[in-house]
Amino acid sequence: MGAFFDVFFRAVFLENLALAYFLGMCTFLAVSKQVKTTVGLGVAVIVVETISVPLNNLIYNFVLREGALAWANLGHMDFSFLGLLSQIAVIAAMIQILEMVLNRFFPALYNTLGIFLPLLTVNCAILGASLFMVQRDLAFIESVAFGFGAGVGWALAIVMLAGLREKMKYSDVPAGLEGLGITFITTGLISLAFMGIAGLSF
Amino acid sequence: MAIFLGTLVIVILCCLAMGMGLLLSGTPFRGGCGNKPAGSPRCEGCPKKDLHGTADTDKEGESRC
Repeated sequence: MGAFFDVFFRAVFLENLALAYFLGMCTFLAVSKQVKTTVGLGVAVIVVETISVPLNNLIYNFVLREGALAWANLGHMDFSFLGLLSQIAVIAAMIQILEMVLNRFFPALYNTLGIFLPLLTVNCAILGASLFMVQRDLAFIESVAFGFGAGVGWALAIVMLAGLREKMKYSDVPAGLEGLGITFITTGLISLAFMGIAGLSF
Repeated sequence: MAIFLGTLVIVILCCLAMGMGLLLSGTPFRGGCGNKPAGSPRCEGCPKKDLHGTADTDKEGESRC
């Protein structure tokens, strides 16, 4: 159980996909203007990450990796070169189901997210979580923690940035830094703050 | 041969997964400027949108756009 929480907290704070690896920056910067919208997007990312990372873990470990098909007497087969394709397919399927659910039950959020919802399919934060899972050779339970943590970390980062951007509307920002300029600086400062957590010991 | 067949099966499954939205919603495979659904803003901004016929004469699939 300790390993579960260890992986989770590392994914949220130390290895935050948005603030440590700067993945998913397009959506991160474009949608982070209102807290309400980012909460919806954050929940969507958490759901997709929590389901897609463990699912990709199962597919990789029981179908694709070398020796994974030993249960079917095909232990010599190695389909790991299809890993990227299968990960994209799983994520695309997840996003399409999520789109249908949002369109049916949360039409306001569906319309607000607009093109950024289908674009989550190619969001590198989501694909990055699956690729990190393969690279770090995580077990299934760890992959659940990592997927959930990666989603929570990304959602936390974008909600924090949206909160700051809402407040910054009333600030006197120098003309040359208005808009994306000050947003980049703010993102960098939040990232530095998150890096500081790595220095803490408990 | 086994690798080829395995790859083929996995790629087909991946393609089905990517088309899951269309499969679940039952949306027919159609598209393109000439096949725009009624009232769709798909041709908005198209430089040839004025070449469409009137609503009475313009049949689906016969657009010059």
